[in-house]
Amino acid sequence: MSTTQIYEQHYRRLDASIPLRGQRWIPIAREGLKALVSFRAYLGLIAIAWLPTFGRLVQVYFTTRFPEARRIAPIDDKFFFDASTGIQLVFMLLMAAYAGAGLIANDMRTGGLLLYLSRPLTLGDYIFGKAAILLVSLSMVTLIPNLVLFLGARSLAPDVLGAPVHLILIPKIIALSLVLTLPTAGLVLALSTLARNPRFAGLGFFFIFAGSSVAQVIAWRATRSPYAGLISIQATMRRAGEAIFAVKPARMTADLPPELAIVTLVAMCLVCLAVLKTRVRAVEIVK
Amino acid sequence: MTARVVFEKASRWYGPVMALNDVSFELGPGVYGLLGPNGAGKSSLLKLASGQLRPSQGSVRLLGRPAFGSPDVFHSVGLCSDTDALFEDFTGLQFVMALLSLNGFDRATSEKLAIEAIETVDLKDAMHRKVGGYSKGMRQRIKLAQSLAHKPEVLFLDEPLTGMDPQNRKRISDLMKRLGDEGRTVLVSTHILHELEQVTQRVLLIHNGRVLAEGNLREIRDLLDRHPRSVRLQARDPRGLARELVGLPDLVSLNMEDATGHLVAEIRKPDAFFSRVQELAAVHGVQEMWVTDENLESVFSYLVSK
Amino acid sequence: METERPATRPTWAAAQDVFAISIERMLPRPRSFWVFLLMAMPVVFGILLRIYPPRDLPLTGFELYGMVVALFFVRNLLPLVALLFGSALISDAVDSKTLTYFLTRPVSRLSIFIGEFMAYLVTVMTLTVPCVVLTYIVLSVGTPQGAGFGATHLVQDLAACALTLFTYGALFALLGVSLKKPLIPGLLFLFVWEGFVANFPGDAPNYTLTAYARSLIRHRPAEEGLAELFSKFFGVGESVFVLGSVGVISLVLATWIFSRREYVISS
Repeated sequence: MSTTQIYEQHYRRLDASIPLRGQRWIPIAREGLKALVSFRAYLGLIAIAWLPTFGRLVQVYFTTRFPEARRIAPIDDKFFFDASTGIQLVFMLLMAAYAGAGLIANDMRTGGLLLYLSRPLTLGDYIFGKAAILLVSLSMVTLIPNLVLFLGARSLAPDVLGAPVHLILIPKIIALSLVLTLPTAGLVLALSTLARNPRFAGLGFFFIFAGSSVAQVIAWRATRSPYAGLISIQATMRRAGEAIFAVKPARMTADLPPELAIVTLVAMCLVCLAVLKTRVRAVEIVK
Repeated sequence: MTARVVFEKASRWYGPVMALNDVSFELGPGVYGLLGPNGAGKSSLLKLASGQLRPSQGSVRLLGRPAFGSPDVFHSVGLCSDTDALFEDFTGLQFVMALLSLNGFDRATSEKLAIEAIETVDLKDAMHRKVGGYSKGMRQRIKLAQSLAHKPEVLFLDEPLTGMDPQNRKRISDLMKRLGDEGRTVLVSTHILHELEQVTQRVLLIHNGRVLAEGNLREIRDLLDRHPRSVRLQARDPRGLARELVGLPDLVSLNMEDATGHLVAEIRKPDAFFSRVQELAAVHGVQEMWVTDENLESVFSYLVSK
Repeated sequence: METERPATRPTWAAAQDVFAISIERMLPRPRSFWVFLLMAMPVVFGILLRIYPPRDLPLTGFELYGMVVALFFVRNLLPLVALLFGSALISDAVDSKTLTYFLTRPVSRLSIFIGEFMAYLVTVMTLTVPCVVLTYIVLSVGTPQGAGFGATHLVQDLAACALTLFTYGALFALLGVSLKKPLIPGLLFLFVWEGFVANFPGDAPNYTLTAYARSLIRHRPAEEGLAELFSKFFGVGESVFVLGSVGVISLVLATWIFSRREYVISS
C-alpha cells in the first residue's frame, strides 16, 4: 500500500473543470480587488491621485493656446518624468500603505492564511495573487494616469507629440512605472508579513521610505558622495528613471551610475521575496 | 430582595438595527441563566448590564448606580466576556495580578487573591506560563479567574464553559452554583442548555431583542397552559391503558409508538391526568411515566415559535 | 443593609497602575525593536564616518549631529513614531479586544487614557534618548571638529525631542480616538500639510507644528535649496508655548471623546 506524505499535498482532490496551472492566483487577485473597490476611501484616493494628471492636461492645453508658454513649461520627456516622480509619488506611497499593508498581515492575524494554504494553492500562487492586487492598485495611480496623460497630450498637442518617434514614451512610462511599483510592492508585502497589524506595516513602510531619504540627505551633506543615493529608495528609483527618460539627473545623485541603481532595486526586490517566502507560513509556534 | 441588576424598559439599537427592545427585569442574589439563539441580543444585554454600553432608551442600573459611567461599581462586579482576548505576553499569574492592581489591591494582596482564583479554576500548574501558549480551555479558565479574583458581588459570565473539557465544565458549573448559594448574583449566558439546567432553574429567555419569559423554569412552563404537556407512558398493556385514557376531557392527543410501544399523551391539566394514571397503574401495569417537554429546550422552542 | 461601596479609584493612582500594565505591553514588542533599529541608523552612519572619514568633510561633527537631530529625528522620524504609537493608544486595545478589561474595573476613563499616554511617552523616549545620545557621542565627542560643543545642547535637544513626541503624540492620540482609521489622515497631515506648507513663504508655516519643532534646534546647520529659503523660525519660548498648548488641548479633547465613546467589542 503506497502512502503519500501529507506535506507534499498530492492527496488534494482537484475536481475543478478549468485548468489550474498558472491561473491559481487569479481568484485571489480578483476577490482582493473587488473587496478594495467596495471601499470609498480606495476610490477616493484614486480620484485624488488623478487630479494632477488633469492639471497637467490643462497645462498642455494652455501651451497649445499660448505656444510661448512652451518655453517656460516644455512638453518633453522631462514633463512626463516629472509627472511620475512628483506628487504622484506621494499618492503611490499612500496607495501602497492603504491597499498593501494589510494584504498578508490580516490573513496572518485572523488565520485566513490557513484557509488559503489548505486549498490546492502553492505559496507562489498566494504571493503572486496578493502582489497582483497591489500592483494593479499602484498602477491606477502611476502607470494609468501617466499613459492617459501621454495620450491626452498627444491628442491635444500633435505638433509636439504627434510624430511616431514619440511613441517611445509609452515603453518609457511603463518601464518607469515598473521601477517605481515593483520595489514598492515588494517592500510593502514584506512588511505586511512582518507585522500582524496593517497599521504598523503601513507606517513601517513610510518609516523606511522617508527615513532612507532623510538619511541620504544627511549622508550626502556629510560626504558629498553620490553613492549616498543608494541609501534612499526614492533617490535610487529616481536615478533609474532618469536613465530611462535620459533627463538631467538630480544634483545629489548625478554621478551615481544608473546601472548600480537598477541593481540595487533588483536586490531589494529579491530580499523582499526572500522575506515573503520565509514569513508566509500557516503555522506559528508560540514559545 | 435587593435587586442588584435592574433593567427598566431598556432598549438598545445600533443604527437601524434594534438589538434589545423594551427589556425590564431585576436580578437579586442567585444564579440566572440567559438563554437565546445567536443574534437574540444576549451579548448586547450583557454589555448593557456590565456598563460597556449605554441604553438608547430606558435605564440599566447596577448595584443602584447607572451601569454606564459608574466605574466605582466595578469594585463589586466581575465580567468574563466571550472574546478570546488576553494579555498574551503575560503569565497567567501576572495577568490576574495586573487586573487586580486596577482594583486597588497592593502587590501582596493581588498575588494572594490571584493564586486563590487560579486554584479555583485549576490552573495552578500553568500559572507561570505565558498566556499566549495556553490551550482554548486554559484561556477560558484564566479569563474566569480574573473575573472572580476580587470576589465580586455580581458576576457576568458570557459563555463561560466554551472550550472546556467535561471535567472542568463540571467544576465550573459547581463553582457557579456555589457562588449563587453564597448570595452573589451570577448571570450566565450560554447555549449549553442541559448544563444551564444543572446550574440554575432561574432563566431569562431572550429572542429578537425581547425577553420572552423570565423566572423559574417550572413556573414558566406552568404558565404555558395553552401549550399541552407531553407525557410518555410505558405500560404492560398499553392498548388497555389507552382505552381508559382516551375519554379524559383534558387529553389533547394520544399516540402509540410502533417501535417502543410507548404511549405519548398531550394533556392540558397534568395533575388530573397523573391522578387518573395512578388509579390505572396496577390494572394496566404502568411501569414508567415521564414528562418529556419540561426542559429548557422545549420551553424555548415553543416560545420562539410563538 | 448594604455596606457603603468604595469610590472610583483616585485618578493618579489608577493611572499609574494602567501605566504599569501598558508599558509592559508596549515596550518589549517587536515594533519597538524595529523602531529602535531605524532610530539607530544615524549611530551606525556616524560609526562608519568615524571609521572611514572622508577626506574633506564639509561639516563638523557637531554640525552633522545638529542636522541629524533637526532633520532626521525632529522633522521626520519622531512625528512618524508619534503616529505609530500615539494613534494606537486606545485603538490597539480595541483591536486586541483587551479594552474591556480596563473598562470593567473601578478606574475612570481619564485615568485609563493618562496611563496609556504616559506609557507611550516613556516608550518613545526610551527608544529615542539612547539613539540621540549615542549619535551625539559618535559624531561630536572626541573629534577635533567637536570642540566648543557643550552638553547643554544635548540636553536641550532631548527636551525638544520630548516636546515633539508629546505634541505629535497627543495630536495623533486625538486622531486615534476620533477616527476608525487614523493612519491615512495622519500621513496626509505629516507629508502633505507639514511637508509642504511648512516651507511656504509668508504666514503659512505658523499653522504647522514642524516649523515650531525645528525652531527648537538652534544649532542646526542651514538646509540647502528652497527649504532654507522659505523656512520660518520662531523663538524658543513661542515654540514651546505653541507646541505645549497644542499637546495639552489635544489631550483634553482626546480624553473627553474617550470618556463618552462606547466601544462595541465582540468576538
